[in-house]
Amino acid sequence: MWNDGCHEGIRHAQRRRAPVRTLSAIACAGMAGGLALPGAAADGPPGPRVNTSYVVLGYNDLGMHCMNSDFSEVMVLPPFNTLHAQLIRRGTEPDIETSNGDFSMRYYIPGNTHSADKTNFWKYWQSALGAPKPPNVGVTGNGLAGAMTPTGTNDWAVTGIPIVPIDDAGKENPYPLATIEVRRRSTNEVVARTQAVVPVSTEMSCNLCHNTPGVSPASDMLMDHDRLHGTNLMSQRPVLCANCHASNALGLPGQPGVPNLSSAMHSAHAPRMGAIGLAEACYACHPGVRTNCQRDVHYANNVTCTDCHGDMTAVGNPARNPWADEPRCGNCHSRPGFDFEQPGTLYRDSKGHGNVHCSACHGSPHAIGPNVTETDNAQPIALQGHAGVINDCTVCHGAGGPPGSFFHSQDD
Amino acid sequence: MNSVRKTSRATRSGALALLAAAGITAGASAEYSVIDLGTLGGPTAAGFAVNDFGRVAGMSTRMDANVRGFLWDDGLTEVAPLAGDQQSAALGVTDGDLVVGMSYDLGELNVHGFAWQAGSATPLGNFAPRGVSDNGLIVGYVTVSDSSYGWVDHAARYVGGTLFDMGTLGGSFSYAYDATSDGRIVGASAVASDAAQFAFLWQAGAFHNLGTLGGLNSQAYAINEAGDVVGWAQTAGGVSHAFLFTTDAAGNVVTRTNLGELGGGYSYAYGVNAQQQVVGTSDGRAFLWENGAMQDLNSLISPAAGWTLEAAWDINDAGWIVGVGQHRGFPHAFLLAPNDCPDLDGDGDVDLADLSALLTNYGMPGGASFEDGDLDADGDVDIADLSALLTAFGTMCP
Repeated sequence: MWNDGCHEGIRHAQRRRAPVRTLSAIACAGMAGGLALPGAAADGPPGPRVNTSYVVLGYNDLGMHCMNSDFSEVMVLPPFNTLHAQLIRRGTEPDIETSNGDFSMRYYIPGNTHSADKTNFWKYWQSALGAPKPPNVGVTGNGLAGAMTPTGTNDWAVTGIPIVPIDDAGKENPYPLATIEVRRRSTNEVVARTQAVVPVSTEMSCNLCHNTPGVSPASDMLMDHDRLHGTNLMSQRPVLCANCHASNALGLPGQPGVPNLSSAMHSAHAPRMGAIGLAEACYACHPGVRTNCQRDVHYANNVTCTDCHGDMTAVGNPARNPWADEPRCGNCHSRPGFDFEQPGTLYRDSKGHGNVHCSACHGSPHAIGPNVTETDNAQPIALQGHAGVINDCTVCHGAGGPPGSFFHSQDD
Repeated sequence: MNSVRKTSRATRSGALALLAAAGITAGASAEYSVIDLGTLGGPTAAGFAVNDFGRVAGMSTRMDANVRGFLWDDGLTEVAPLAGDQQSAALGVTDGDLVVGMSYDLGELNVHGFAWQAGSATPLGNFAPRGVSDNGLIVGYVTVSDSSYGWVDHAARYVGGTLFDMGTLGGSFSYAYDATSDGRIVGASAVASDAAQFAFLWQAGAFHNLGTLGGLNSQAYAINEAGDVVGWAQTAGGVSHAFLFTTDAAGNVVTRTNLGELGGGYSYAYGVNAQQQVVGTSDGRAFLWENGAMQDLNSLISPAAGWTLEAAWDINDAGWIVGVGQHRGFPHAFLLAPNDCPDLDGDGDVDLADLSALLTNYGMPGGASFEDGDLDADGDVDIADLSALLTAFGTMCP
């Protein structure tokens, strides 16, 4: 797999503004040959940390996890975040460590340590989606801190972290940094540590359209649904959309004959988006106008949502399997002899270069480095001294490894 | 927290005028009137701090969807971000209307602190202020690089133009949230190996670990001038409960009070005033704790106001409470004004006009409002109400 979208054949014209800040202007300049990014490296932690025996690489399964800001009437998505990591023993021939018997891996999020007081999810949905969960514990039983466990696919993970985009001081932060720490069980020594973003946003701007005066946006939506589809949802609040509309995100099958949630939402709204006047209609419901779901090298190069995902009608195709039928990197990226994800496997699940997950080095989906958000660049800067794809050989091969950066195909 | 002072006549009368203009009344049994602080054009707002003159620091969305800090004084004044930033938040305000907050872009590692007064902002560098004492001691946190952890946040204080990294209790991170005028600071810090975080009281250059309610973690969010500290702590059962810890001059905890909860399995305390009234949130509802009991603030306002008060962030020494709640489907900033001064016409004093209004309604058996003269919120206008008014006759109202 090659390491960026800056130099080879991207088939889409650049037609979007540059991002507002930070690394956009130097996003690609820093890629060639692994050059350090002026300013970014100087602002970062001092120097690459290659003098330890292990390195841990953290990443998210999605570019952004959305959640409702208010759960009193409707729940589309609960607070739910998933963090992955790969532990690599450094050396000329590195090993990927997955033994829960030899190592323990934990995560925590400094400055964002409790959620129950920042969302009313637990007030209305504590008993939904499985057994009742206490405050600050998510639907999978995990909290804001805890253990990560091996997945069986060469990495470690924790699912269902119930983080919200508000820190303990009350400030909005959609890109909080989680600390991932690995200890050797026999000695309890810390062998590796890193930081990775756990992206979360409530920026689903239903109120752009559902804004009947004196009525909440959620009620406005439910009343529209009742009027158009003969339901009686207003009397059933709070409503879980996935009870009827199948949701792969929540793993709920829905009701027979009812379109899945993604299809229903996109199909129903596709013909209605013109009135909003957003340059990127997706940001009416997905983060967003302020919060960047997509904040990576593609964004910096003016690649839009629809360039990869297609328009709303395409996304709303009932034949599409949501969360599984997703864009392929190879749809745009092409280079003879190179694959850009494993055949038949999405980028987020693909591995290469000796079973290293693509996301571990290239970044999470929608956050493929270098990013316009400094928090997303924190890990590569800490590990190799510059933002962008982690492509400095010494990060995994140690100080004795080959110097410089590298290209690789899936098989090497 | 602020020292004991009275809110201004102008603020009180202006607030009630605003209430009247908004068509919101205190209601028959309401102990507080609710003031919707409005927004900067967008759909949402939150209030975080209130000074003893009833002026509020908070933040709101604008029409362009960006978030901006504000100072409310019978109307919103936007506290703009520093040059180059898109967002701002106002998180603390002194009695002198010095507003502290942060200016930032989403996704930045370092935010930019500011002190703002009368439309002029002073940059404070890469510092995220969270609170300010009445004499201008600004506390918060600073993000610094660490060769072992990467980026870490450390509690920090800004004194005389200099930023001081306060360090930690041995862990990688710490945060400061509030300060007294004599330099005591409260917050939370991780301990060695980041095994837990504990509420701290910092004074005379030293941290005091305030401990918990028997569990593993705690955070302190506010302190009053008497050294009463509030926050949350885990109990032996692992439940997060709001606490009130009293401390002595040496910084040691004297008493530990578990404030309980409204339900839902948690409570968090965010503010405390000189009268040891504590505010916070529990079960998704704002609470007031006083005299040993926690009350749902929603039960102390008129249901007709159309609010669900979700979190109370601060309370001033006159008992005015600021926070955030759901109003007409959106999070809005609220200010609760106690209906404890028999100024029935809201003109800032208790005079013949108020007495006349009460006597006009004297004998109402039920359904009476504050403006009718029901001062004890029992629904009628009787001798108890008349007595209360006569007791306050001739006084100015806060």
